[in-house]
Amino acid sequence: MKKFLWLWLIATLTVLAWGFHLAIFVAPTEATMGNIQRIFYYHVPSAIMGMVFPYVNLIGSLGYLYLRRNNPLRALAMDALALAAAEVTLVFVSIGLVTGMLWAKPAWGIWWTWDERLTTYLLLWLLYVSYMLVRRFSSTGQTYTLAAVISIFAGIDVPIVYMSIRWWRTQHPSPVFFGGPDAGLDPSMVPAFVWNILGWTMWGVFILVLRYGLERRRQQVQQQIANSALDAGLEGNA
Amino acid sequence: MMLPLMIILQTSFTAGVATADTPMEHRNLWLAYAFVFAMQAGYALWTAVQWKKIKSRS
Repeated sequence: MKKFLWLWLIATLTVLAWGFHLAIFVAPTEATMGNIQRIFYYHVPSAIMGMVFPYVNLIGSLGYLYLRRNNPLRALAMDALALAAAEVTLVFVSIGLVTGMLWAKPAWGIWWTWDERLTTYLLLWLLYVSYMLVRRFSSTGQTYTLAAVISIFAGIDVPIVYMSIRWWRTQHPSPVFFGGPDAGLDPSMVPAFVWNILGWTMWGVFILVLRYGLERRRQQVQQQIANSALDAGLEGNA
Repeated sequence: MMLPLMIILQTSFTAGVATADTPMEHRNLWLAYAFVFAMQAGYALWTAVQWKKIKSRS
């Protein structure tokens, strides 16, 4: 497993390096926006990953809610998956927001506007920040359950984010993919986009697996500590 | 969490200073790229450090 992960990382970094080369040196400069359009090759893959990983988080959370009473050990594994996916989502959504703002200032003349896409995406970010805060600071004994419920809200927000530029007239550009007859990307720009989306998907999977493994290990250590304390208590009473 | 945050801030600051005289179009492009890689690298580094910590405890 360890060897496979290293190979996966090397393959991922190679794809990302090639994607960077294509985005900066090969893809043509866009006629209207100029070089600032090159943010697209990182903004869009990050935004897409920010809408895919919430569903991994949702699967983990629903799994936890379903299993927490009849199979607590498997429920913990599902919770570890949910937590790992939530963190990965937060990283990607943060990148989506910041790169979007850095693009918006030269393109629109403003850093931010409260249009439907931006607002629902910010809401997604806030939901995952809330998720992390609940996990970090809640001491109710129901932390995992509360976090799982927040991830359901996030799961509801994601399709609204996706459809916002289709349902409403927004300042955000109309959909490039699956957006009707006028949508699409110039063929000369496609390789830079495809390699970057492949690279960031591979990266997302890699970091998710790494973070999941870490959380499982943390749970095991916590369990060992609890067992040791229990044993010590029993010996003390005897 | 401080380590990745410091990396992100330092990289973004360095990129900002290095490109201060360039037009906003270029500066924001490099800031965006710096932020993407700093954020991802910062998170990966934080995860790796946590692995080291948890291994030393177990």
